[in-house]
Amino acid sequence: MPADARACAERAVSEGARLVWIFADRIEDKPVLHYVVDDGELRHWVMPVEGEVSSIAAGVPAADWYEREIAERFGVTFRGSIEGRPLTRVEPAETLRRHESGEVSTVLYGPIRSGVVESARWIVETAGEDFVDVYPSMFFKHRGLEERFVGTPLELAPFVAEHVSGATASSHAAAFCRTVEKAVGIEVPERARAARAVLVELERIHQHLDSLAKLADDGSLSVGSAVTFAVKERVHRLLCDATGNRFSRGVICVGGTRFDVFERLRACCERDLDAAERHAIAAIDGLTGTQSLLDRLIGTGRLTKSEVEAYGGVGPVARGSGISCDVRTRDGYLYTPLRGEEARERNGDAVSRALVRMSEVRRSFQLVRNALDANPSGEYLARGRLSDGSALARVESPQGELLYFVRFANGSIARVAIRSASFANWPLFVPSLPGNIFTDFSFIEHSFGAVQAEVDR
Amino acid sequence: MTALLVALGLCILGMIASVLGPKSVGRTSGFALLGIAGIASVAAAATRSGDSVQRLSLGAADMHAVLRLDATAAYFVGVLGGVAALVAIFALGPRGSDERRTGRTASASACSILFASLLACAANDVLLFIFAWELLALTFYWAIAYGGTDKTAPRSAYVAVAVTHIAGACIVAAMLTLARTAGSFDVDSAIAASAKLPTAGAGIVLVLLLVGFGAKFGMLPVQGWMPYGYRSAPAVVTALMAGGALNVGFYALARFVVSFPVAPLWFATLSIAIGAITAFFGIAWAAAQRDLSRLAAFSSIENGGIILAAFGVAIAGRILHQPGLTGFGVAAAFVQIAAHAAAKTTLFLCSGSIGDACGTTTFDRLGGLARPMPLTTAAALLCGMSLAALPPLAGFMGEWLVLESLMQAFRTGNIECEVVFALAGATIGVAAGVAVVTFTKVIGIGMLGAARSSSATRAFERVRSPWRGIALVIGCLAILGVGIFAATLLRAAAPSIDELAGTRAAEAMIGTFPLVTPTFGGFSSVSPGGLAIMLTGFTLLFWIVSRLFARPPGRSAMVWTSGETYRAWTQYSGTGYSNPTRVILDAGVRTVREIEADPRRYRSEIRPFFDLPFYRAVTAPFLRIADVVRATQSGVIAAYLFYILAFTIVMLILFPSVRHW
Amino acid sequence: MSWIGLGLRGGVLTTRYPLAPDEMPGAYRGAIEPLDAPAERQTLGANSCLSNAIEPGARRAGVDRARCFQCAQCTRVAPDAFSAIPHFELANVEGPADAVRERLRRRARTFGRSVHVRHVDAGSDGSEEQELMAIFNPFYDVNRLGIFLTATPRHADVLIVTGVVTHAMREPLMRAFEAMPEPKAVVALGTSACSGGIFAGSRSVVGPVSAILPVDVMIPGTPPAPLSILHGLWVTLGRAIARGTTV
Repeated sequence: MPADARACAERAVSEGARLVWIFADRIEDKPVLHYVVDDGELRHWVMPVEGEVSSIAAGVPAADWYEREIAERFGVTFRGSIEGRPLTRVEPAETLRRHESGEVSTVLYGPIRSGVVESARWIVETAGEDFVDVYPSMFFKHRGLEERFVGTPLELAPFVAEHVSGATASSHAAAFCRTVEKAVGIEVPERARAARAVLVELERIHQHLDSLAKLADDGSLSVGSAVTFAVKERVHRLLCDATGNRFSRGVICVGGTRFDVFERLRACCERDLDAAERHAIAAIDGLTGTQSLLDRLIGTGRLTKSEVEAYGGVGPVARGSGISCDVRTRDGYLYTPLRGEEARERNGDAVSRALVRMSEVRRSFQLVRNALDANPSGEYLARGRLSDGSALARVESPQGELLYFVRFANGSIARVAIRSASFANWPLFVPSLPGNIFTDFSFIEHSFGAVQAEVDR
Repeated sequence: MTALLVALGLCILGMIASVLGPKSVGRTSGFALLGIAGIASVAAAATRSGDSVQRLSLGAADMHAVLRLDATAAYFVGVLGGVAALVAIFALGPRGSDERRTGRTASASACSILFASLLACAANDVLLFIFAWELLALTFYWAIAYGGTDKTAPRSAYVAVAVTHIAGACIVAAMLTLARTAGSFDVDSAIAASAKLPTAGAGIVLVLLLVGFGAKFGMLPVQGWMPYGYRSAPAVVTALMAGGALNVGFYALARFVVSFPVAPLWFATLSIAIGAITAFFGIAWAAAQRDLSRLAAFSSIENGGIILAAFGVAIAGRILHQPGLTGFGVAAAFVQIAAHAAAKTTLFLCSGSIGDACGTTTFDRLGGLARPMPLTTAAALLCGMSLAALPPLAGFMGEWLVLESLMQAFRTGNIECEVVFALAGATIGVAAGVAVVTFTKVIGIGMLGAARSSSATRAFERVRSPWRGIALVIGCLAILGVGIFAATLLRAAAPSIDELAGTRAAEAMIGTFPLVTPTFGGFSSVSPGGLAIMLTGFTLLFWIVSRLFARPPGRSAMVWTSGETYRAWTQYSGTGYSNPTRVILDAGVRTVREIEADPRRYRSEIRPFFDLPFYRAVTAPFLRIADVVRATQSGVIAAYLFYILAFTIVMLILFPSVRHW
Repeated sequence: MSWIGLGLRGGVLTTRYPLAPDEMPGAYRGAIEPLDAPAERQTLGANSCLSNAIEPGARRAGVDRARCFQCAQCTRVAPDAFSAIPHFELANVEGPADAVRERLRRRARTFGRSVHVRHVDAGSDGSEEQELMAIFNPFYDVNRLGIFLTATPRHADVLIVTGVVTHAMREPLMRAFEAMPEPKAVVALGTSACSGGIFAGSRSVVGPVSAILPVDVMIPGTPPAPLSILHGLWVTLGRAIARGTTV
């Protein structure tokens, strides 16, 4: 255990690595800190906490949210932390706004917002249309999921992972199971890996379509939105027929899948996938051909490459700013690895993120087909023996890189930590706002396509 | 004429009583005398019969009259008297918290303002006019610098004095040229003699006069002193300045410029263009203001522009030998003058009430006043609606007539005129639109909603004295009256309109009550009375229908604010409300917006783009002169009065000797 | 390509449900049907249930549908005691809310049968929102039934709450309820909202919606399918009959 994981991480980041995650664990009632960076592959350092820890947030903005969450949940003091306001504690808005009343008025946008949206509160200080200061006040939906894992039988624990984010349940189940399999040393059968790849890619399709449909709706493009939502519905119906759940929940388990889902997936995709793809491409072509929508998206919520790098953005948000960060091209968890260039755009605005999603939808259909065509035979479930230990693994969820950390003690789950892609991307929301006006807010928000449930956990 | 002399005398008595009377009595008696003087002025205007011109000569029979009350002067004397009476009634209530110490300065300067204004309107002697004009300027300075408690008062006063002196210099130069051409100080002969001037010379004189008079009503680019001055003087004095004394500028315009016999046509189009531009920028700046009194001051600039445009139409009519057009322009200007006087006086009185109740008139610190101050809120609402030209109020009638007069472009038969008329009409139309946004802010941000500061929370109506209430009610009635009974007002002003137009143009404008039609029959007409009845009828109908078909009474619940408890600071701020407007008008309203890091503060500042460089260049020498003159100024009020008195005496001694200059 | 052309070429996708029957795919794990089985088989299933929805009984086990989050793990460990059926009409009426529903029904009739719905997320997993949005897509198009979304609870007749109620959402949720005019109905959408689901008893959350608000109708499911939501809303409006949750 290196003495100063913090210093190692800071050095790695200064040499160009991306800070992936800082999280805390408690071993024998003493907090330990884990620093994770990515310099081509994941580096992971651990250190026990002795007294105060000095913050690295000043030099590495990406560390800010992690440090604050640890400070509030584990009572670790970070010396020199730049942001004084609480992150995970829900405080009255009075203590969170920065400007006294006067020229600036404060809009409490949330926690309950109009439409069918997840609860989150944005404290928007504005002098009329311009943003003066925006503070994301979240964690209204904190349900204690990381604690819920502790002691849960391993057979049932993937169900808990599916509750972290029901909309991207397969990604979470896959990420959790992958982490456990890595910790315990289970080799997942080919057939199960192919099935998981199909499930995660279909999930990516319906989540990207959801984000695109919401963008169309923001642009008052009712027909475009309806058509796109209809394609999403087709994917849900396909999944429901194949897996018994519209969000393919309750399928992935440690060691493989709970039943031989691959066969049903193949049958259902053979029947419905072509139609779904045809409709998806028609909808995407329609959206990219609608100038009134593009006008609202071009230049909106711009993020430069260096901003995304500084805050450690992932997924379509990072790829929209020209950063290559797709886990699928690296870790090879997919049955048939993603080949060729990742979908990337350079401009970093809302339309870039939308275009990345559109390319990924097309590619995901192809990946589904590749996996189904390979049709690997054999078992769908491998069993292993539980042993104490820990592991860290990641999966590319629709929102981006999703990491799980699992530690076993005394034959059961002792600690699960989750670094969701939405959590990594939200700190980028505020830097994307300057220069935009209030009515751009929902465009920018939906271009991020975050799931609040996996942020708050 | 006797009534006018009584009024002038009462003003002097008021000044003396204010200064010499015992502390609290001084102010009260000063304002009481001001009120009586105001009523006397109204009486002077009302009793002047027909087309007669009353003159008052001093000394020898061959000497020209010193004072003269003709129809035009009478109209302005009447308006001035009404405003003064209204202000006096309000001021008889408790002393405003913005008045310095005992408030005697306020009452003395108010009396002095009325005195100087009346004198300027009635002066039939060029020198007396200049004297009255300068006295008015001095009184403004005095009221701004010493009347109020505002900390920026010295700066405001310097700006005011600098601008009025530039204006004064222009007027003196122009007047002396005219007097010299005429060989007489008699106003009428001076104007008549200008026919002898070469066209270029006449143009220069006219421009000098326009700049000089324009400073009084806030014409661009000599508008800069108004917002500062109006903010620094106590509210009662500001009400008199903005509602009353401002009109002396319009009077002078009507007297000297409109009746100027040989104006070049470009001067008419120039007046209209400057008027329209002034109106637009005035209201654009007003929209971006954060303070009620400053907003009202910029709104005065807008109105000054609109009235100037109407006078421009009158001038064009005179040049093109279209008395109908002249009559129309003058009538429009007169209605707008009365409308503005009623609404602006009342608005400043409201501002005074609010300032007393809340300790501030900054929008972002007001709010929630409708319940504790219902009368003030209702009065401010009416003023705002009138200034935003909503029917059937006074401002609507004024602006309707002005726009109609600009629509007569086709009668000029001159392409240049037609283009300027059309552009000016469009600009004033836009200004009226922005005015709606502006006064929505006054009511919506300033009065309604929840209190935005602890001082606004403690606000209450000062009901201890009924005087203020009476004044506000009278003000509201005046706003309604000028609007609904515009035809009656025009009938009263008809002799003056005819006098300026040179024909019986006014007769054609007044249809069967309550119809008002432009001079040109068959063009258009409006019935403000009918509008008022219709609007009231519709409101009643709506109410009755909603009563009849109402389902069981509703249920009151807290405002829905995204699941949060309601907080006053989540309301739209004044700046926030007007920000979109400001962004649209950014070409004219140069604003600086900055977010300060420590302490965290957002600051926006409006920099009118003609304003700063122009004034810095012009005021610098005056400030240097002021430094020198300061040695003679002890700062004691009596000293100033002494200077004025001495000046008057010297002038009166000089009178006979300069007669044959 | 014109959107209208694209929309028209898709044809009519919309279901007639609930005016005509519709069904979910046969594989859909909507509800657990307990079968006659020995006690130890029932217990095996009960022990495999993360949300304690199964109560072993004399002949067959009792399954609390408000607690069941449709994982169907019991059918895998004890297929002889439990089977999954593609049943989706899961909504259940809670408490004596018939009067409210009757008033809502009458109100809906009077005003062209339009009913306005406000949604509040009290701590969902994010999928309930997407399924609730789905009832507005062309396949379900709930607007055809006169059901509309509204931005403020002050205009709402029905409050739909998703997710288990977290500590931070307790107050905002109550404010939303208080801001609604009478008559009003509360619908708990999703297993977590109905019973707390896998969070039942956790100190991190307040509990199910019924812990703080009078719930009229529960629509279990993780997440409930759009057809389940349609059925639940129909039940809320007194237009359909609910079955009991315990079978």
